[in-house]
Formats: sequence, C-alpha cells, structure tokens
Amino acid sequence: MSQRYVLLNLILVVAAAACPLIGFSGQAWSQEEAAGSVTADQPAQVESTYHYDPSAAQTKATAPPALQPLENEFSFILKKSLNLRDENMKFQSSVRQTSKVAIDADFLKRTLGTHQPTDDQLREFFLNPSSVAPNLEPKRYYDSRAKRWRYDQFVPVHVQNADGNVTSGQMALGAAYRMGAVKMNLPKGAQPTAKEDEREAMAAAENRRQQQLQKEDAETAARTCVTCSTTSTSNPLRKFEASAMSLNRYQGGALWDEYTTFATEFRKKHKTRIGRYNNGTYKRLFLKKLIGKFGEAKAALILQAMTAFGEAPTRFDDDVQIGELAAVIKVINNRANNSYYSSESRILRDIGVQTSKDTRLSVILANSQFSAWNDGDNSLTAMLSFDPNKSDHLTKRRMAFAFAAQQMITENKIEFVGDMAKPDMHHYHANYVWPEWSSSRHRVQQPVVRIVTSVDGEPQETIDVDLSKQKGASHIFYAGVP
Amino acid sequence: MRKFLLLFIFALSTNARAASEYQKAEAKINVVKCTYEKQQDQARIFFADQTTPYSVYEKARDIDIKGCQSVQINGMQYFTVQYVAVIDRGIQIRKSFTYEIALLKGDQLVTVRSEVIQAIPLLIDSDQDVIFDRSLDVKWGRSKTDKQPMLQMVLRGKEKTLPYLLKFNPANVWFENNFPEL
Repeated sequence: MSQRYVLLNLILVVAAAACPLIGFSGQAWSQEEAAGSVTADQPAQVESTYHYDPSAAQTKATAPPALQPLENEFSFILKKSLNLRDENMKFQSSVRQTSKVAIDADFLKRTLGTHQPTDDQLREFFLNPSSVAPNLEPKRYYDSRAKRWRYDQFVPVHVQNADGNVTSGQMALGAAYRMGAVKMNLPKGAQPTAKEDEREAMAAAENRRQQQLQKEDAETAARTCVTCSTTSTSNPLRKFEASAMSLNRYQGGALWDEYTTFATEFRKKHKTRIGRYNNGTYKRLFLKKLIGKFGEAKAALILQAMTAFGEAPTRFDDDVQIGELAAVIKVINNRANNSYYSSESRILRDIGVQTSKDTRLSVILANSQFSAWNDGDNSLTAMLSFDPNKSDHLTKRRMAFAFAAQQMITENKIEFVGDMAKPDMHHYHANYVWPEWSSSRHRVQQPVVRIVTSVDGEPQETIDVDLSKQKGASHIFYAGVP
Repeated sequence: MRKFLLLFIFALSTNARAASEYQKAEAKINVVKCTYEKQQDQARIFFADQTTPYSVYEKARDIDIKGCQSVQINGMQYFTVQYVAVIDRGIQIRKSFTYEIALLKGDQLVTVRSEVIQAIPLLIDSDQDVIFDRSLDVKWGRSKTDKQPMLQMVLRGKEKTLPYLLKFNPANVWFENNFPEL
C-alpha cells in the first residue's frame, strides 16, 4: 500500500513539474496562432578563385593524402615535427601523441630554401610563418562555412587528429589547438595551484628559463660567431616566449581584477558554448548584467578594453601589442568627445538603456561602427567566451594588456605622436578592407605610439612603436575624415 | 510524507511558472502590400492603406523588401517589414537581412524593434552573391504579469535554432530582450 502511495505521488510530481515546463518551452503555441516566418531568397552561390571548403577537407579523413610514408622527404618533415613535439617544443604549440603534423617539403624548399630546415626554422615556422617566409603573401578566399571572405597564407601544414580528420592551412595548428588536439605546454614550475600564485610562479619559471636561454645563446655565439657580440639574444622565437609569459610587464590594475571576477561568474553561470549563431543574444545578456553590476561609467571602461581586445591585431611583442590596443582605445576616446558618433545604439535599446549617460558606451555600441560588437562576428565570440580560468595564455595576455593599455593612457604613460595625437583621429580599418570613406589624404602616415615606462613614478625609458611597420594584418588610421 | 510531497509539487510548479512570463494572446495578423521609396539617407516604406510613410531604422541602401504584415494586439496597430539591404556605414560594407517592427502612434509610424537576422560582409571589388541561410520565426503574445505585448522569436540556422523573448517596455518605446534568468 505504501509503495503504491509513493509511486502515485512520484507520478504526480513528474506531471506537475512537466506541465508548466511545457508551457514555458513554448509548445503551447500552435502554428495557426499569430505566427510569422521570415526568410530571404537564396540566389546561387558564386565561387571565387581561392575556394577553401573545410567540409571538403574533412571528407578526406578516410584517406588523408597529406600524410605520406616515412621514406621520402615529406615524411622526414613529419618525423621532425613529431620530434619537435616530444623533445624540443617545451612552450610552443606541441602536438599530442594521437595527432600528426606534416608540412609540404616542396613548399619548405620554396620558402625556406631547404627541404630539411633546422629545428629553429621549424619552430618559427609553426609560430609565425610570415617571419620566416616574408614573401608569403596572404590570399583571399571564400570560406563557404562561415559565408564570408577571409585571408590566409595557405601554408600547406596538415594536422591529422586522432579521429582521422585532416585540417589544413596556415591556421590549422591554431584550430587544432582550440579543439584540444594541440596542447600549449608551460615550463615546469609554471603550474600554479592557486590563482594568486599564478603570476609569481610563471614569472619565476620564466626568469629561470630566460637565464638558461641567455646561457645557451652565449655558448652558441661563442661556438659559431667569431666577430659578433655575444650579448645579442634577439631571437624572435625567444622574444615571443618571453612575451607570452610576461604578464607582469603590463598590468590592468583593479579594473582588470573586477572584470576577471565578473567574466568568471558569467561563464560559470552560462556554460553554453558561444558561437556565431547565438553570440548576439549572449551579448545583450552580458551587457545587461555588466551595466547592472558596475553602472554605466565603469561598464564603459570595461567595454572599451574589451573592444580593444576584439579589434586590435595580435602581436607577440609586448610593446607593439600595447601600442595596437592603445590606438583603438584612443579612437574610442576621440569619438566619445564628438556627439556625431554616439547618436544611435540598437544594442543599448534592446537591453533597456534608452539614453546612455556615458558617451563611450554609446560610441562603442553604436550601430555598425566597431565590428567586434556585430552579431555573429568572430571577435564577439572571442570577447564573450573569455574565461580567465580557461582561456589560452595568449588570449588572456591580450585581454590583460587591453586593460593595461587603458590604464596607462589614463596615467599618461602612453602618448600618441604626430597625427595620432589629433582629436579628430576617428577612423581606422584593417589593411585587407577598403571602406568608401578611406582616402590617402586623411591617412596617418606614421602611426607612432610612445610608451613611457616608469619606476616609482620616475620615467625610465620611452619606447616608440610604429604601427605601420608591423607585418600581417594591421590597422590603418585616419584623422579628419569628414 | 504527503505534506512534503505536496510542498515539493507546489515549489516546482511555482518555480517553473516564474521563469515564463509570456502567454499566448489573440493577435490579428494580415499580410499587407508595401512599397519602398528611395531617399537620400533613409529609405521610406508605405504600408497598404497608410498615408504616412515609415522611415526604416537601418540606414541602408538598395533595399529589397521581402514582405510586410500588419499586426493588431492589445488594441495597438503594428506593422512589420523584412528586407535585404546594403549597409555601408562603418569599416565593412555588409548585406543585411533585417526585420523591423513599427508602431502606429497617432498618424506616425515609429520603429519599436529592428532585428538584424543575418549580415554578411561584402568586398568592394567582388561580385559575390550573398546567401542568407538564417530565418526568423516570430510569434506574438503578451506578458502574464503586466499584459504588455511579447514576442517569441526563434532564429533558425542550418543546424541550430536559438529561441529568445522580447517584451514591449513600459514606456511603449521599444521591444527589449527579456531574460527570464535575470
């Protein structure tokens, strides 16, 4: 009797719980009720010269043509890559045991001048192909999955994952890394147990590593170089390593700490994978929570740093990275002083902010201005997905530097030289797009950002960063565009 | 035991109901004819028998109207329009697929929501044709609490769907995103 009683009650519980949930999920809406469907006509797709279809690459998984037997030169590169993974690549992208990496040997011959590059050449090739092969021009192609035009250097690097899928192209390693097939190893000793200890542990590990690198460089130079100075250690790869680890060099201060706490809480509560299809909705939720928690003024400062993160290109050099981020922040500040740029924001209306008291807020979120805030934009996904505890090291570094750049501008530790200092420097665009408003007459010819380092308030050193001399994707700035 | 179970049932149902604010409502929806008039800065649309034109929210050119509707709910008259257009503001020229809702206030038609369903960047030197692979399902309802009009939107992609809610704000100015979790 008691068992039947309990069973009956359980059924009642389930039924009572399910009924309102069904109503909530919208099943109660019938099709004939007040429904409308919005679709666009779909004209035929026109293919371009450079057509890259990732789905086509995946269909080759059963018989990957990129990975050859071990006898030829191609497989030598493959073997070399695996050796790099196991023995030499301590901090760089390393490929897991279940993955294979291959590079087209003929391509290496054309670009590096040899079928059998050294370990250093290969490492640099993995990290920054354009630094090793400067003539490697990016080509435009149509990404049929993302439905947009992209630029890629089409380096024939192939990664075969454990499931047999083969990914190709310059960014194959990066993509594999994001999917978890490639792992970024930290040096020993840089695995903190508590968050507070992270910077100290990483800095200590980096110091030890730098000392070891300097020792090795001196020994190498003594062996191979008769006339040159043994103090030169300007290896770009090592500079990158140092850069990736040196979170202590530039710090975002109290605002960065507040933002990381907020971002952690946000990602903990909303664990859904954010992508192009849903980042618009999560953007509105994020902004509503951010403004609700911090108020418009502080939220504007956080969004300014986030916008710089989303817009500025990635640089491995710390100073250059700070310069790129600072330039975007400068444009936002300039626009905030001009009412023309804060006229209308659809996003703010959507979250119930009819008129923003902080002009930076409406400038950043103004319709069709900073593309990083456009629904569906990949930069928006990167900004909203940022989790201080889970994001990769380079992403975390760039976000931290964005807050650092903002603070340095506030403290006058960053100056803008020449036309960059003009208050009407309101525009920039990436060097692979040419908006109609761009004209050489208004172009900033020498976009120089000056960083003033100081110790205890005393200026120590000034570093001029010329943004026009950076390789790859970069921003072109304009002052006085009508 | 019995009291505990009843309490549990009550708690569950209350919690679930609290999360859902909207309910279905009678809405009169009709497909209406509409025409587009080119202006220098802003496009204007004439809905069926309305003499006052509606200035679209999006500052866009080359508008291609895909359809218009009139909606009557809570004693208010709305007009909706979906169109494809070119947005050339900002650093990227984009072709957008947009859904807009206008409210008839006196003899004026004012925008109360503008939703970009999909926007695809265009390059100046390309003759590419744009393919929109997203659609938007819109259902009209109203709030259980204050009876304000609400919309249940479902954004449909090739593989994924994204449902979300909009609610007309108390000032009757804009359909704002409604987050039950807040």
